[in-house]
Amino acid sequence: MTTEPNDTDAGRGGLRAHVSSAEPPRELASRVLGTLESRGLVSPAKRRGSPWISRIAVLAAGLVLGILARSAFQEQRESRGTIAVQSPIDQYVLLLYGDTPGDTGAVHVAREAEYGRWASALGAGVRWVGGHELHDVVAQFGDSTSPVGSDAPPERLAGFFVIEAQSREQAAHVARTCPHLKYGGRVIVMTVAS
Amino acid sequence: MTHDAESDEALLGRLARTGDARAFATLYERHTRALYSTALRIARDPDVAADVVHDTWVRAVESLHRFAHRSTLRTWLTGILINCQRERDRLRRHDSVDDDVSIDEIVDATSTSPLDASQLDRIDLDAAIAALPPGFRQVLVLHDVEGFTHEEIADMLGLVPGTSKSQLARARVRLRTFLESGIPRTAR
Repeated sequence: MTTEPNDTDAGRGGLRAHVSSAEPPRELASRVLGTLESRGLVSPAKRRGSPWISRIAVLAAGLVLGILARSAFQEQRESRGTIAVQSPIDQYVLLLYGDTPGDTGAVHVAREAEYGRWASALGAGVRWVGGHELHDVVAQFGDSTSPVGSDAPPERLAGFFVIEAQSREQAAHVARTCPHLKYGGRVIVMTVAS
Repeated sequence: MTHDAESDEALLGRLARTGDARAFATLYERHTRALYSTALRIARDPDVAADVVHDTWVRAVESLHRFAHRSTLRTWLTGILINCQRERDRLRRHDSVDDDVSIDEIVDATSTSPLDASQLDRIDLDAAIAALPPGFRQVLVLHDVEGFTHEEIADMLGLVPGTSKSQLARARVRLRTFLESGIPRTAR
């Protein structure tokens, strides 16, 4: 051990080479980017050519080739009188209703992270397309949809997620796992017209 | 010019002006490993460290306009990371991260000098750092591992530099004790 005085920055960074290092988890990049995109802080359209997007482009090209190959294979099967079973990919919107108690300040930050984790791990065959937290109602036009005679304020739409799933059941399953439910909110799943 | 060759400042400018995701991706690849290492050493939990790094990047991009270029981007990001980490600690424990740090610890000049780690086992050193109380661990990790100055640490932690120095001195005493006498069961 050395005997350098401690009244300066002596020893700064001295342990760096002697401690273990760790790699961040791979999925963290897409999780961060997903959150930034969902808040409009980065533009998805401008990601072409980035290191990540290069990889995604390769995957997409592989997917297109796979679809083309599959289509050719299906045509071949259909020409032989075989019925091809397809799993169409449809978009669904998950509407998150209701304010969740105590969702302010640091609690809000922690919950956002939890929602982000959930959105980045929706399961096989499901893809997160986008989503936003919704804040203030700026203006409202047209007739109220509240039941006539009801004094209850309309339930607040707190946010939405758009996902791609292979079936209604799969989309419903994803909605059942949404953390919004745990905090007393309500989630409605709707199909997106294609 | 490729994004990889551009300075942090140029990339930040592009990100702030146009939301250029390629600029963000380059910044992410440059700085995330260091941020994650710092978070992991302080939080000691890989999931928490990943959450903290996620929150750090989101908060940083949201507040790019506040980056005054007085410090390096890495120092600014690490300051945000420390704040995110502290918020999580407060949420979890409902108290201050420094509550378990004794200010009456006896410190002498010899025991507070920097450690010569060349003879130390990496695993022992990792374990000893991890066993430090949170307040000590933060300062020791930021100074002796990550290489920030006391001025920078004081800025990140909301302290005066003198407090950062005294915290580091006490942290080194505790670390030396752990390495020489073993880590007490209560510190694990």
